[in-house]
Amino acid sequence: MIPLLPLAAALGGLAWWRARAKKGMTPERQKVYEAALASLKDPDALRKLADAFQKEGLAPQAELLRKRAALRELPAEVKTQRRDALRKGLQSKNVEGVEKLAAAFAKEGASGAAASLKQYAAGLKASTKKVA
Amino acid sequence: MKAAAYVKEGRVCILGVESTPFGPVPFAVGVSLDAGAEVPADGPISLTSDTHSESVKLALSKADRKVSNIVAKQTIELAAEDLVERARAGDQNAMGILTEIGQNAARQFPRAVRALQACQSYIRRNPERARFSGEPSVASTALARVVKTQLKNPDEDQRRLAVVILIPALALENPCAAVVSLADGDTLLGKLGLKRIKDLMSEVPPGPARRAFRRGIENPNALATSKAQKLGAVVGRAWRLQRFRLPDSPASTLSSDVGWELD
Repeated sequence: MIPLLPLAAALGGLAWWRARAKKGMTPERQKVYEAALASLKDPDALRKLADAFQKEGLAPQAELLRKRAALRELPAEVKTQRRDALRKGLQSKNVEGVEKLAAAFAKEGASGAAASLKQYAAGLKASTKKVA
Repeated sequence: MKAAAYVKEGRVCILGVESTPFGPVPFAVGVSLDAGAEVPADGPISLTSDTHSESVKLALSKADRKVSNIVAKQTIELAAEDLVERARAGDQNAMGILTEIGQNAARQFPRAVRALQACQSYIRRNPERARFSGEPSVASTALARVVKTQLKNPDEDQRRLAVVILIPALALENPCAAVVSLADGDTLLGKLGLKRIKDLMSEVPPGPARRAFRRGIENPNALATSKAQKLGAVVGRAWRLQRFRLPDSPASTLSSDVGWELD
């Protein structure tokens, strides 16, 4: 009889070692990174993840995760300014301007605000685009 | 076809949207009543009633012909887009149909000539390039533009008709455009807004569909699984957008995610 349990453990260990041995952004890490930016709301967890990405040589991603973790701790006036900027963006008719603002929010780790602006820009674009 | 007719300053108008296999075709046409004819009061009229005066019947029939022409022309254009894009994606059937259209057009078959012109016109305006998934189709762009124009109409009744008839079609074709159009139109807030939302809800059959519409309004960021829920989500997002545009509204008005980031 084949000893299934040790075999499964060995295969699992090998897969883990291979995953760890890979440097840079793997598809799995990309998924984790995107999910964290989209929905992770625990600053400590975000910082731990940022440290893990930093160890793997993914400094830009680590920096963005740290910025997201810091969003909650920003001074009230910065938050107010950002809210007002978002409000202005969501009233603007300038597609390019709205897209630039979305990129600026994304750079600060505010992916929810960036997504709202991107959707708004897409809606504006559809009704201003020339019909082909 | 979903359409409504109304009289406005001596003109009989029809506003609506026709579903075709290639996407929705919106239309808005108007025909002046004959000089000297009795002009009915401004407001909605039935598209089919026998009680209309002869002049109104005549105007309705002319408007109906205009609608048929618009729908026929637009359908050919949408079919051309569909065919060209399928051929570009390597669909052998589409390539075969294009070849056949070219051969029949060379023999001067009128329908083939029209189809060929539509394909050539689409290709000229859309040179071959990678098409991104999620990019709006010609149908949804045309619909979005008609909605935008109609929602700027100074007459409130006509704007109401446009919302009730065109927004459900646009909500399915291009939800982002539907949200922006609705949010940029009349208020959805307060008592007046509630009345407008109820107008839209009356287009959804009672029962499970209406419950799905309500779910869409309440939780517009959830994955919508039915047409009614998609329409509800569009209304819910437009409502939140209008609410957030008010000074000092918290960011959580838009969504809990944005609230976490900016409040």
